[in-house]
Amino acid sequence: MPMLSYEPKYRVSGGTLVGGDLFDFWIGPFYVGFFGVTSAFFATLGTALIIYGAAMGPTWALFRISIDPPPISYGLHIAPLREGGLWQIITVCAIGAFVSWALRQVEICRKLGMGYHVPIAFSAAIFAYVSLVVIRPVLLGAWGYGFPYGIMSHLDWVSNVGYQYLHFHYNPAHMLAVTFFFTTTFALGLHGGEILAAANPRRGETVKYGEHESVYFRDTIGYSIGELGIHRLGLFLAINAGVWSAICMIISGPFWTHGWPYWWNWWLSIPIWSHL
Amino acid sequence: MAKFHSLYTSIAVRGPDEPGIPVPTDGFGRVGGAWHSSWLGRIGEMQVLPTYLGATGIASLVCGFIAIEVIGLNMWASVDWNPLRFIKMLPFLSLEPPPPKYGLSLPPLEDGGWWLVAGFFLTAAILLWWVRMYRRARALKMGTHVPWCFASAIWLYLVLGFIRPLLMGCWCEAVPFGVISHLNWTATFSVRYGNLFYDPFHMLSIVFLYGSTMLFAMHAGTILGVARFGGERETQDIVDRGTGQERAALFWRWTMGFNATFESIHRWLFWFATLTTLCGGIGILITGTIVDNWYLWGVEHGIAPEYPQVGGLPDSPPPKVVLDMRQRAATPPGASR
Amino acid sequence: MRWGPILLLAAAVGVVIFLVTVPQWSLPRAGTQLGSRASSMIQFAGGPADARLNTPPPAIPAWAQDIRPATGAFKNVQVLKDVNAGEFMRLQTAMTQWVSPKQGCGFCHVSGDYASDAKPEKQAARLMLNMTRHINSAWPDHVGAEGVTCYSCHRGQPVPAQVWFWHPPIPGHPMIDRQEDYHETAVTVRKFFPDEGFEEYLLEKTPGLGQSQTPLPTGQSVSQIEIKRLYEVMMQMSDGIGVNCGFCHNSRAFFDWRQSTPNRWVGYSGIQMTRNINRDYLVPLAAISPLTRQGPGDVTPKVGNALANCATCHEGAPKPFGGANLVGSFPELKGPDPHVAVAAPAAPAS
Repeated sequence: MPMLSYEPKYRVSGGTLVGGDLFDFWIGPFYVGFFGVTSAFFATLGTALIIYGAAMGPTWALFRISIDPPPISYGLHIAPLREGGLWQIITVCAIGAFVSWALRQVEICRKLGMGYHVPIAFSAAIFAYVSLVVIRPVLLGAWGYGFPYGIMSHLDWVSNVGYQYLHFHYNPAHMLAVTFFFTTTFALGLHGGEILAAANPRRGETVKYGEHESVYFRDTIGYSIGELGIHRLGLFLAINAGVWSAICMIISGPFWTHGWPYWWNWWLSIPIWSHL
Repeated sequence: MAKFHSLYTSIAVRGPDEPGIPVPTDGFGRVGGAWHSSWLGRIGEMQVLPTYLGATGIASLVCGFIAIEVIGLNMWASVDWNPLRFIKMLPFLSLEPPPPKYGLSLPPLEDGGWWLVAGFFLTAAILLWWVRMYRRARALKMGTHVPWCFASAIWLYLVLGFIRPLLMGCWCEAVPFGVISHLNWTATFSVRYGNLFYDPFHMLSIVFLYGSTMLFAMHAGTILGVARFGGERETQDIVDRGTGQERAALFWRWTMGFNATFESIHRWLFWFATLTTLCGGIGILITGTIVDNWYLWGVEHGIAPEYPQVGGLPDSPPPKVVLDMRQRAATPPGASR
Repeated sequence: MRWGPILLLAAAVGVVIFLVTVPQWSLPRAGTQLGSRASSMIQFAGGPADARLNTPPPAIPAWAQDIRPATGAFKNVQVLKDVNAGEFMRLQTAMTQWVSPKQGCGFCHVSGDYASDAKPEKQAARLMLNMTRHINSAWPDHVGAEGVTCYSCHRGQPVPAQVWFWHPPIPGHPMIDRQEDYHETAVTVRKFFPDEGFEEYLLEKTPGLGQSQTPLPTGQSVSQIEIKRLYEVMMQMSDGIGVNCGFCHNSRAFFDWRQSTPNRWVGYSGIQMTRNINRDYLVPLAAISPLTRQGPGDVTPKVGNALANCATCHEGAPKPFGGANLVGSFPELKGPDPHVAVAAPAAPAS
């Protein structure tokens, strides 16, 4: 793939975290870097192991393939390959690949003189993944608490883990996380729509800029957060969605083992209204 | 020396108030004097108001107010107008749709009638608000993308509260107004229809929901990362590409091999957000009408994984009971148990 | 001095401290996996609170041997006709300890005339004795060899702690939307939730059929309300016996017995047994002693039938008292089944 018309002047050396000039080059449009090498390594190995796991399993049907974690009877030990050990290695590869990817993003930011917002936001997502497959299982004492790598099987896992708490909607952190997800999508629709509306006005009209954008939202909802503000808001909402999701899972099991509806006993016992 | 802060504005600049671009007036027109909040100014614009209150906006607010009052006053009356009980019970209070025996006919007020009244006025408010969003865009000579995204959300709302109950022949299928009660509805719906995770449109909707969140994080992170180059001036950069857009595009090109432009990324954002509710509405609409048990649908279409039955389970029942269980599994429903 | 960030930080710390100290949390014990590795049907063992509630009662010492038949030694013996006087007195002592330790013998008996049936509690006790014998003989699928005694439910109280009351529907106001009948004065969520689910599934014989057994609709109609009640009763049952849904079900297909665990059978027989207890013993009990009943934790007295649910006997433990054998030294409570009129197998009636 050739370079973009304005690209050559940006392709300078520098900004690397590790390795200096050794991996500071591009392959096609992809920047390599030391962490590009490690990303490629972990991703390739992990994918190959997933395919190997599928080959060991009963089916090649895409939706039914599943690489399962070990039974919880193995605790925090390394399990035999066919008994969940493969899952453990794939998880290590996944974490290695994700962290490498984030660090590679950092290198690219440094090269382009950008802020680190994207890799930091990505780290929140990595935290959510790690909380499901490392933090929560470690707190519960077994790798088997992680989720299986399979399209439908990971959904069956979500369903059963949810029903472990009888009615997962009552989990307060889950309520917050869902609210953040829906609000993020709402704000995304508003922002995407507005920029497109400004840049694609009626036939014969000129493109509109910031003043029109602000007026549209002031006219409709009374306030316009502005071009910079909407991106701050969006980043805040999106990261909170991921972080509260991670928190809602970390507290389910390690800190609460009954049904989530029954956690709300304290609300009923607040002295000012417990007798009402 | 002042540093550039992308996450908050350390020095908020207050310029002259923006009275808004002149538009044809209808109803009250532009209302409200501009006031400024330095707290808001730390993250966004300082100016709040003026807003526009045309005929549809006023009508929408009135309908919405009626709906909220119907819901809230019913709830408050049910706790004998006691404010403490109201706050305590607020998560559990609910305005419920009519029970099954009324079908699609009009029930008495206390048995679902108020739900219909509230639903009607809320729907009217939402549709009028849509008209407002559309007309404001037209008045400013802008595109109408925002109202079309809103239309997708309205689609989901109408499916849940109106279209699907109509197709199922019963208002009782609709969602109640209430904090815990609408969550109970969701859980009950999934149990009734055989686990909604197996609904392919539910899967698509979630892909777009999580994708929207991911995209907003990616896009917002990118813009804040190039804010020091004026990257937040997106429409300017669309028509006159500056170094902000160039670096933003190159960041993603070098990271994942391809990139969007400042305009096309907003198309990604728009469609992911719109498709979330569009697919969600379809997924709800076909549940119960076309498919009655999604897990069994999944089995039929070859997506349900086979799990081995685990031997040596604790407390295995006596053989007679295992036999009885197997018979139950083999017996079709309706046969004598 | 910028106060804003300091105040925000203080508020955040305050919220965290509140959340950590005020609501009750529970640290998990070892998990037990009941399904395949992918499906995560895992149970967490109970905590110290549940263990406290499930301490077996102190053993009742043997009474002085007295082999005279009870019918000869005492007047007006109607149920315990097949025991001797020594066993009879030992059982009476036990019952007093199990049901009315504070009230003593006078709870059922008129002092000075122990044969008198003047107090309705005495008739109630006879009904309860028959019930205990019936449970132990007719429901081995559920209570097993461990069996039940009065203590299983009563645990030292005349009215067991975990009971629910049937009541007629609360008349609504003609202009106000009817609300769910939450028990507003309850201080635990278990007591707070409405009882309609118990009525339908633990008193009435509503079949627990909610999900369709075919992918496409075949005209089966089960309304949202019926499924909601089923969900409610399943939730209360799970909390009452200290387990979660995965104890019996694989949630991707709740209906499918092939994907359920063997525990589901025990739960099924438990539901049938509870219906039997409620319909044939506890509803008639209210006719015998129709006094208002005030259970512990009830702010206002309830009128009507106190009825049983799973928590009445289980009190948060999958096996009450950790599976301790309560009935072992009381063979007179194991039978005979007062309901056996014709020869019937000891299998639960559907």
